Amino acid sequence: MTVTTRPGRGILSVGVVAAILAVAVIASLALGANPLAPPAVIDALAGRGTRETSFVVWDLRVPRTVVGLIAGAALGAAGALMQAFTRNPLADPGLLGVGAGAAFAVALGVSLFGLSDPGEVVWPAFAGALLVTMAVSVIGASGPGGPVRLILAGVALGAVLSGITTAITLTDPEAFDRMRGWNAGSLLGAGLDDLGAIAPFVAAGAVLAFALAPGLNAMALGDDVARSQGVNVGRIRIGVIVAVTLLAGAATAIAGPISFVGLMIPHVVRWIVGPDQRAVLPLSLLAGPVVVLAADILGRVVIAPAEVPVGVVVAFVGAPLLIALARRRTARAL
Amino acid sequence: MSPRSRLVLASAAGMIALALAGCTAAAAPESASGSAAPGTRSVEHARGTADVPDQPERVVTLEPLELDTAVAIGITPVGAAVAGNVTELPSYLGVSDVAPVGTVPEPDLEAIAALKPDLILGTESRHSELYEQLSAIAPTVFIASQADPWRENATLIGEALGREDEVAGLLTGVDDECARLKSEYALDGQTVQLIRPRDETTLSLYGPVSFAGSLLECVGFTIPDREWEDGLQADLSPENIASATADHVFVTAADVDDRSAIPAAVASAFPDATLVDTSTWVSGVGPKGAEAVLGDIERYLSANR
Amino acid sequence: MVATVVDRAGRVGRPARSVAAGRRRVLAVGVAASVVLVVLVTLGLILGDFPVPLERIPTILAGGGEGIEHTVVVDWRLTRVIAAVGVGALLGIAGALFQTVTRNPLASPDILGLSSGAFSGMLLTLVLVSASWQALVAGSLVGGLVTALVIQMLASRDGLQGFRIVVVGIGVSAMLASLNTWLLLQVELETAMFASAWGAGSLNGVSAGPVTGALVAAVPIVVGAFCLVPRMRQLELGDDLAAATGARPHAVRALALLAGVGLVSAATTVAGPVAFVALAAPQIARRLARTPSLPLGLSALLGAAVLLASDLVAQHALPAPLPVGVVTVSVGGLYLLSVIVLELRRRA
Repeated sequence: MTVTTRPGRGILSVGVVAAILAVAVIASLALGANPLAPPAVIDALAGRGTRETSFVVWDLRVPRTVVGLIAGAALGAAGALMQAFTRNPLADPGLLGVGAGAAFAVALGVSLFGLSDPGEVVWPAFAGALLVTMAVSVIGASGPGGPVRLILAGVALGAVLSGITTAITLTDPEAFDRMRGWNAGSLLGAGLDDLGAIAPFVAAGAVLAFALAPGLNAMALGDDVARSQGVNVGRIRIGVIVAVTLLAGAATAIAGPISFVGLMIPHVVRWIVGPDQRAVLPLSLLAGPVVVLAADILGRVVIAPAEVPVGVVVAFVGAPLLIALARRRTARAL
Repeated sequence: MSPRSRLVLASAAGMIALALAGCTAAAAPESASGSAAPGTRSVEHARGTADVPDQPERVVTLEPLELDTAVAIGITPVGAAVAGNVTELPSYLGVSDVAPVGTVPEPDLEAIAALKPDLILGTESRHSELYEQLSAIAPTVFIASQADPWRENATLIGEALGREDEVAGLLTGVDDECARLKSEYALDGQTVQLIRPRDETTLSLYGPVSFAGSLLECVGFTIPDREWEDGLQADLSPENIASATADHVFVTAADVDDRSAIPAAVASAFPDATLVDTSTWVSGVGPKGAEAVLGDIERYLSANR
Repeated sequence: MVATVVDRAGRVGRPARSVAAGRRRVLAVGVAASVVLVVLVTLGLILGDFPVPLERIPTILAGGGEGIEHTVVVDWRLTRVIAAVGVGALLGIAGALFQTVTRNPLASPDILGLSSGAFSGMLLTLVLVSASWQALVAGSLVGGLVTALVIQMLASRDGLQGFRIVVVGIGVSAMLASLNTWLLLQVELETAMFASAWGAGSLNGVSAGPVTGALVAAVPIVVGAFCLVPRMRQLELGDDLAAATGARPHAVRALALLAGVGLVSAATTVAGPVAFVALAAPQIARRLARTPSLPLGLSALLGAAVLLASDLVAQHALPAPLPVGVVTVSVGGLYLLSVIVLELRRRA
């Protein structure tokens, strides 16, 4: 049985979500803790702003919008991949240990090497995420038993690392201080050079994701059914792990751990276009940034003149949505 | 069983556990009333009354303010709780040979007992659950909260150490130094801002009731009005950094010589900001810390006369 | 998996010979675990910064010993050891109950939001009300129970469905975790570190009062749990067969969950939310005893041993003393990893 979406519906959805995303980008530039009037924002964008407005728009709002776009897209796509691959609607990229690996690397960097600049932790976080996911896939991906072993390995290694990370932060107050900020997630850490360097990884992950879509459709009914259709399940498994690692690892490296986006976006997207991965993946790529930017904007305005970190707001935006969905429908087939 | 009665029973189970735990919890020991034994005197503190030795010789402090005050009047404690397990005692205090007894949030009872102290100083808001155990080792005096005005806490600490007059003298000394700087530099009407960078999206400003803020104001500066949380501090997004303008801007940092640690928002809005040491201006609450802060302020004023 | 038989009277059981062998193995593992526990208890009484020679311990326990020695060994070390054993046992039993009833080896109190709710309750009390430990304990209990209630209410639409309660649990836990992250940013550094240590689960500074209170309160719940065991075994066959043999699946499940919640609440009163013991102890017990179902008594013994061992490591074996929960999380993760790797080897 092949899974399809009516083409018209898919394209319409993509168009609508893209339009919503455009609105979110504009809002992200226009709104913030500093109540700049729209003409001032436009002046600043055109290069005519005062020192204060130029700083706010070009040094703060533009970078965080870009980070929100990249991280949101990466997390949305990674979440869709994880849920399709594990055939479990509760799967989340964090299950592979991405967040725990990044946090561990950041904690080591801060306590052993004294890293403190937000930009300095981007590459250690990325490296940590990559190494841990590799370890998890070595331990958990071999042998039969499907994705359950992989998830268990991710949960287990994640637990070990989170214990060690807590140990490091409880004995080093500076590390604790830095980590409690990093843990909340923020779109302001990475500079534009880091973004430029990380973007290719995200692009590679996205391309790989699209290539995996037809195979994932075939795996929806089980590995055996897929094999009988000629799909190389082992290769798809490796491809998914690599793609999720690149996408979720890059997102965590530039924005800190923003949980929940990867979990809820695929649900919402599947609700709109159904379970065909060829439609779910592109739409997740677009819907992810909508949620991340919306959460960031909300964080900027709700307690102005201060801000609430985006990682904190996302759960309060996403969880009620997820709970509402769970209450409306019974377990939905992927 | 309907969901609702299930929920009721769940709450009941929890409440029973709570009630039993609370009821059998050891109540705070009755304050020893009546006359104290010879060689000791009674001190009233946040957890009642304690009989402390007239001249304590082996003191253990569990709070940075207590350590600072003791050192300021010449008593070197035998043991002190440190901020974290890999940090040593603050260098501005200039003491060594003080055994670490665990961390400020989690003191190590056995290490304290092994030092055989004759007086323990702690904080009710942090060490509340340890009071009975600490009292079993040695007479224990608790200040109510480290967030209370530091001069009041220092006075109680001085009383516990049997040196009220010396502490009072130190506090008067701080006031006198403030008055001297105030008259020498005539800072009326000049505004000041103390900024502490927290993370990428938060900058903290310190208000007139905070430790360093109160010292800045007693020297004659004015911290511009805003909505302070308990008068202590206010958080700001980097987008609003311009609203923190003042004639003089101080930024806290771990290393005062490393200007790269200043966040971009602050550096662009206030390129002439002065770096000050977090370990004294933020964490160095106490008479010696006040001495260090006033020293920094004087050096700044004379360099920018 | 051992085959089950249904006799003519409709009672469910297993062939007599393998039942006896199974029982012997459970007993053997139980005895071994008890011996390990005794060794750990002894270590707990001897180790510490305050030097107490081994020979003095029996005298001190019997009531002798000068003031401070007695305080150190009886009031501190013995109390802490009893707390570790008690809390570990309660968590082991609670974990076995949750996992049996939800038929999910990954079920733990956090699915019901108890741990994150307890931490949130404690943080809110710390920030808004007071820092006295009685207030914090009350806050954490209220937080945990309120969270469990909220999750139940949100998830119960036409009765409880396994999938829905897990989703709602994850959603509520995520919101609470975000709230906790936010609150930790609002308080000063040392308060945040103290709160984090508590949130990891810590036996530092436990005193006799709360320990006795919680354990006494838990005794009737433990007795009730053991009484439920035969009915829970019947549940494992599936609801239909269980109903046919006279058990009432919904009632049994509800009572078991309730008992689990009560036990975890009592444990949280003493040590805060300790991770992984409730998750791992029943699984270790089942694997060691090679039983198809989760043995309650063994889970209690192993939970006690794991928590006490972790506390000893947390206090003495590391460069700096840490909350016990940090060790249980790491050790629990290592255990899970080893299980996975060993299973791979066995199948390969």
